[in-house]
Parts: sequence; C-alpha cells; structure tokens
Amino acid sequence: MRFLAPVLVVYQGFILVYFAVLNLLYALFGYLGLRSVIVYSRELPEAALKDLLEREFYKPVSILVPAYNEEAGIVPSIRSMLSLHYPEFEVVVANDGSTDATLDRLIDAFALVEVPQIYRRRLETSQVVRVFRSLRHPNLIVIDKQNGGRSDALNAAVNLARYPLVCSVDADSLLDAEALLRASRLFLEDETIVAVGGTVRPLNGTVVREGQVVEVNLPPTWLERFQVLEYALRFFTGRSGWSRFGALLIISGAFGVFRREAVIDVGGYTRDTLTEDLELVMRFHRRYRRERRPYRIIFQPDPICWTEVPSDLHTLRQQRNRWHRGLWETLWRYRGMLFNPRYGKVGMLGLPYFWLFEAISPVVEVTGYLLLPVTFFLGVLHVPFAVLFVMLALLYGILLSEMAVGIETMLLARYPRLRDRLLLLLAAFLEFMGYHQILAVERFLALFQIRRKRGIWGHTRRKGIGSQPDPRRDRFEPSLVTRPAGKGAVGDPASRRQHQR
Amino acid sequence: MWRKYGDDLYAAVVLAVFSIEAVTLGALTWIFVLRLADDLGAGEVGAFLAGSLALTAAALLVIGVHILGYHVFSSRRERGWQQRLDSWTERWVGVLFDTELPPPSPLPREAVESLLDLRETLVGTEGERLEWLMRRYGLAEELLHRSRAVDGPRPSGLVAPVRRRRLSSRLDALEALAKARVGEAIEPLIGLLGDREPAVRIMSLRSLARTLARVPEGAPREAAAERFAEVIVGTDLPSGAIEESLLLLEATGPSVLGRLLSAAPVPAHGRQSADVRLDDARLAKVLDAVGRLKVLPLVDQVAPFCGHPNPEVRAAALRALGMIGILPPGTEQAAAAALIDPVEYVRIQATRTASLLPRVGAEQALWTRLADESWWVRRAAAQTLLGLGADGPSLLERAGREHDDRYARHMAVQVLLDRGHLDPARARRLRAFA
Repeated sequence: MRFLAPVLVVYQGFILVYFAVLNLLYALFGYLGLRSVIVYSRELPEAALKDLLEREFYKPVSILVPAYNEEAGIVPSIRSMLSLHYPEFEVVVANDGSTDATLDRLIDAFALVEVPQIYRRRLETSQVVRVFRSLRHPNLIVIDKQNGGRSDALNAAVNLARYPLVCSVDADSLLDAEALLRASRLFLEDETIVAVGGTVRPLNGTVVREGQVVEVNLPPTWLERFQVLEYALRFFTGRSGWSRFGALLIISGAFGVFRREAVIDVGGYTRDTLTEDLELVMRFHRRYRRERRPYRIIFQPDPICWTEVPSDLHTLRQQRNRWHRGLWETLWRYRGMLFNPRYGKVGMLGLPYFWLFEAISPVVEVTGYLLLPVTFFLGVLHVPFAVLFVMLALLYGILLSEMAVGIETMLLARYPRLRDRLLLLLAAFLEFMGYHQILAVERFLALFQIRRKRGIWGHTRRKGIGSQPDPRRDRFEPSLVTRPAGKGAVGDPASRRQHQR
Repeated sequence: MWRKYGDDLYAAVVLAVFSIEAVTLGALTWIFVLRLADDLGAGEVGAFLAGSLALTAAALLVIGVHILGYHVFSSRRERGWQQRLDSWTERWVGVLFDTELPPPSPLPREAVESLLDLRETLVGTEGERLEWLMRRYGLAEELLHRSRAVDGPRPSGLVAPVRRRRLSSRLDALEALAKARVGEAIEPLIGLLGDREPAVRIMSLRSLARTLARVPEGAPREAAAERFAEVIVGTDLPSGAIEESLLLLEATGPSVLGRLLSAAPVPAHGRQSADVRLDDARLAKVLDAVGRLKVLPLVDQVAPFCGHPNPEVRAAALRALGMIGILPPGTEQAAAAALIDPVEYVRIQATRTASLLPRVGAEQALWTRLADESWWVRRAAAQTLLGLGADGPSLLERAGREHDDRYARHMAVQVLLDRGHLDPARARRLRAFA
C-alpha cells in the first residue's frame, strides 16, 4: 500500500496533464477548423463554380462504389450518383461477391447487359467474373467479382476507371450535387494535390428526393444524434485543423477524391487492413516524403457526403471496435515514421498525436474510470477533488461538442428548426451520460482483439436507403427516406470480408 | 455552402473561451504540482477546481447562447431575403429604364447584392449604365477599400499596421468586385496578387480576369491585355489558377494569350523574349487555354510548340490544335513525328490530332497507332478512327477483324461497343473472331 499510493498519485498527475494537453489540442484544432471554414466558404463562390462549368474547365471523375450485400439501398444510392451535377463522370460499381440480391437489383433497375470488357489490370484483384453496362446510363459500369474485401473491390474499380480522378464512395452514401465539382476543382488549381477529403454527415433522418438530400432533419434516436455530434466534431474541427497543419492522416473512405495515377503508383488499396482509407493516406505520405516529391493531401469542409450511420448500439460498437483495431494496425505498420524527421509534420506531429491521443486514449480514459473506485477503497481518493475533476472533464467534452454544433449552425443545409438546435445542445450533455463511456470501453476492448480478430469486420445491420411515397406530393414519385431500424439487410455473418464504414 | 456572416464573431467567441480555458488548464496543472510538493492545501486546490468548473460552465453558457442566438437571428434574416432581393432588382430595372429615380445613399445590403447580380447578367448599354450607377454610389471604392489588408496607406518603418482588416471581409469584397467588374479596380487588384494570403491572391486573380473580360474594345482592351500578360509572366501563382483566369477573359482572351505565347521561348525558331519569359508549366496552361477558347488566329503561334523539348508543352500544343481543329500548313511533319514520340501522353495527343492530317495519312497513322504498346494510345487511336467521318465505324470494325495486332483488334471492338456501334452479342462474336 505504501508503494502503491505514490504510483497512483503520479498516474493521477499523468491523467491531468494528458487531459490538459488533449483539450488544448482539440481547442486549437477547433479554432483552426473554424478559420478554415471561414476561408473555404468564400474561396469558391457560386459564380466561380458557374464559370468553371460554363468553360468546361473540370477533370472528369470516376466514382468508385464497392458493394457487398447492399440490396437494401444500392439502387437509390447509385441513382443518386447518376443524378450528380457534373459534366463528365462515370460510376463504377464493384459487386464484391455479394450473397444477397445486390447484383439482381442493379440489373433490373438499370437494364444492365453483360459486355466483354478490355481494361488494364494494373492492380492485382480477385477474379472479375463479368462486366455489365447499362442500356439506360452510358456512364454506369458494374463489375461482378469474386469476394475479396472492400479494398479489393475498390482496386478492381480503379482498374476499370477511365478518368484521371477517382472518387471512392460507400454504397450507402449520397453526395451533394456540387460535391464533385468543389472537390475536383482543387486538382485543377494545384497539380501537387493527390487527395481531397470532404465532410461526411449522417444521412439518418434526412429526406432524399431524386438522389439528393432535400430536407435535413435530426435522426429520431439519441444514438444517431450523438453520432451527428461526433461527425461534426471529427470533420469540422479535427480534419480541418490537421489539413491546415499540412499533416492530414485520414480521408474518409465514405468520400474521398484521388488522382487515379497516384493511387496506382502506390499500389492501390491494401487488402489486409480494416481501415484502408487511413492506410492509403499513410502510404501516400510515406512514398512522397521518401522520394521528396511535392504533394498535398487536403480536407475541404464543403464537399459533403451523406452516409448512413448505425442506429443500434451493437452495430455501432462493432464499427468502433473495428475502427480502433484498424487504427492500431495501421499505426503499427507505419511505426517507422514516428518521430522520424524525414517525414516532416506527419512524423513529428501527426503520428505522435494519433498514437498518444487516438490510439491510447481509451486506455487512459478507462483506467481513469477504474482508478476512482480503486483509490477510493485504498483510501487515497480525495473525493471532493475527484468529483470536481470528473465534472470539469465532462464540461470540457461538452464544450468541444457545442463548438462543433456552432460550426454546423453556419451550414446552409443545417438542421433548420430551433428545436433541433436545442436537441443537439442537449445531446452534447447527454453524450457523456453513458454513450461516450460505452464506446471508450469498446475501443479499450478492441486493443485486446487486434491479433485475435485480425481482418474481421463483424456483422452489419443496415437500414438502407428505402423508398416511400412523399406525403407532400399528390402522386407517387420515388422519394427516399431512411427507414426505421431493423428492416434492412443483415450482412452475411460468415463473411470475413464485409464492407462497412 | 455556408452562411457568410457571424462566423468571425463566433471565431472570436471560441478563441476567447479557449484562451481562458488554456490558462485555466495550465494553472490547474501547476497547482497539482504544488499540491504534490505539499505547498498547497487541499482546500485551496478544491477552491481552484470549483472556480475552473464555474468558468467552464459560464463558457458553455456563452457558446450555447451564442449558437441559439445565431440560429434565431439567421433564420429571421433569411426569411424574406429573396423577396427583398427581388424587389430591389425591380427597382434597379426601373432606374435603368428611367421609370424610377436612383435611391438615396447609403444602400442596404440587399440593394448592393441585387445591383451586383444585375451587373453579372446585363451587358452592353445596360451594363455600362449599371457601372455608372456603381460609380455613383462609390461602390467600387468601397469594395476596393474593404479588400485591402489595412486601412489607408500602410505605415512604414517600425510602426505596425494599426488596424488589420478581417480576411473574411476582404474575401467578400473581392467576390463582389468579381461581380462588379469595374475598370478602376484593375490596378489595385494587380497589387493584391502579391498579398501574403493565398486565398486573397487567387480571388484577386479571378476578379481581375472577370473585370478584364468587360474592358471595352480598342486601346483600353489592348492596354489591359498587355498589363495582364506581364502580370501572368511575373506571378508565382499556381499554374492551374492561371489557366482558370485565362479562361475567364472572354473577349480579352485572344490578346492576352497572343502576348503570352510571344513571351515564351520557341526552340524551333531559336527565338526567346528579351526581358520576360514564361516557364514551361505555365506555357502548357496557356496553350491549353488557347485550345479551350478555340482561338483560331493563334494556331500559327501554337504550331511551333509541337516540337518543344518539354513533353508537357508538346502535348499541350497538340491538344490545343486538336481542340481548335486546324493543323496549320507546315505542321504536318511535326504532328506526324509526335505519333512516334517516346513519351506516352504526347503520343496520345498526337494520335487524337492525327484526324487533322490528310485523310489517307490519317487512316494509315491511326491504323499503326492502334497497335501501339500503350493501352491509352490504342484507345485514342480507335476513338479517333471511329470519328473519321461517316465510314469511321466500318473502318474500325474492319480493324476489329483484320488488324495484324491482337490488342488492336480487341481495342477496336471495345471502342465500338463503348460508343454503341455494336451490341454485346455482336461484340462477343467479333471478339471471338479477333
């Protein structure tokens, strides 16, 4: 006991310093992110977008959509992509050996016919069984391939893509009409840009018509609302801030635009990883820094992608477990870059931050919670001090979430009602009444499963982007509203290679 | 898309809140160290923690109230905004056609917005009258004033700028100037191309190009073109941004592009401009802009660059000629030579331009390129062959059956299929034959 007490005191001190530094960094990124939004919102006004379109000054884009057991939402999702406002693009769907009716749905909806297709197989993939083209949409290609995982499907789609830019999009996501134009314009302006990430927002609760989100509503459950806050915090502050620093390590797999040649140059998406988006960006950093080639990987808050987020706790826990295992896998793979000056800001700032404040944070958080009863029973806990400190930590967390809500308020496509705003502010409080802790524990447990569950994605429960009549129209017209939980496809539990974001 | 007001205020609130919190966290850490050293009693630590908690709660309250206030304010502000804009537009149209008197100064925000929108739409006499109206209200001066980093002349020596202008306000002013397109903004905008903020530089360039697009024909336009060409040669802005600005020049474009091409070294002629020089990356963009704008009078200036030592420039020149659709006399040899260029992307552009060669030569060249080692060149050859007049499809189908090279036959079938000249069943039969 005599030896344990000083150790516990020192650990308390560590937690305090960790907490202080983490919050200061979050605050700094929040402020930088806000500054970025201020500039981005003015940098490319509507008139400039119109100018680009009128003068046909754009780079054509191939949209890559990996699909595995997506029968619930694949058709409306692809339909939305085909209705994008962009002068020249194609949609390449890679059906990764789905065991449900994904392919049949696509064949029926888009009048697909099998074609003999010649393409350069520049990236190794599982066997492509058939290639389909649509009789209705000349810019739609569907690949039917053997199951090889999300990365493998993306690589197959890259092989068939014809255009210089590729945009990876999840099959359960929708893009804003101008998203491609806003992201691709950056590649024209600066030829050293290899990748551009955009903001991802939860699709749950929104009303979608003709492939576009036309009404933004808060999702019905608190679980989904908490994720609205998380996404706002992650994208509007974290990624904006890192992008401004020049050390952005992640471009979301749900929406990212890349130079096709750059992707091929680094060998495409890696198959043996759970977080192929993080891994690809890390590989870009390593390759370009090693070869001393100028490059930029940036995040822009304006191109917006809407994606379906888990609406049940089980799926959410699995998702976060997988993300955390993937984070550890990738960080470990690139451990040689850590504190290596050769890799500049990425090695000296980005990676240390990710190790200390992303990878290890659940350990600090969970042991912090465990420490309270332990020190209490050992009699070394100063209860009023501990209570005040825990309350302070909670208030700081709430403050950061509130800040993200504030940034979201400035979006034109914000949650429009004052009630929504109040609910979001309330969610910032309630988030810390269990939700945050459950996910911290899940991420903590993930640490012990990294080796055992290597490559395992887990079950997927999808609502899908369903369709139902739009009550505001007097005749039936396809309109898409995310459906209540439990009515969608359940992924094949036997598959070790599911596609889930 | 974002709301462009209130964001600076929010940034200031966030900065203030977190500055206070940073000091608090630092102090908290220090107090903990003192407590470890027994220099501080538990009561004092508790009191400090309670104070921090109260401060954080107050910060939460401030941010929460700000968010709700902003939500309510912006919702109210936007309600009826479009109606107010429409009513001002009607009023301005009345002023333009002398059915209404110009409104008194100062103009409300909606009035300025609608005036700028009209300026964007109307050209000719109405456009000039709108420009006159903008001068009458001193709009250009006001916008130029707001676009500068500091108020008044920059203090020299050790005196720091007294009042720096907010970046958001400067960017808003530059966007408005891009719409206003007033001649007196040209020189000040050129001055802003050297600003330390990258966003200001880019937006100034865009505003400048849009303003130049409306400069009246004759001596003013030529003088403006001369000045802009000098600026482009001397600036260090990204080449993509430069090309974007060149495409915005509209009627002033040919004069600027002609001057820029003259400023570039032409190796074939051994000519090099004495004092100004366009680097290869920007030269390629200028050539691309010539092609995109289809500036026919410049084809003779473009053609010599088909033999440029830099492959990017060679490819851009070929692409420009391809887009314009004319191969000037004497360029055939260079274009034909580019078909066997060692660089893949030059061959691709040369293959596309081959359609401009005399018919027999074009067919022969494309037939040969159909067996190129590069997949992209084969594809370009097949596509160009297909576009060779009415018998293009039959020519390509013949290539699909009879070409010596297996890859050429496959590519021919693939392109016919992609362009809808073959149905999948027939393509499969042809493929089996191929």
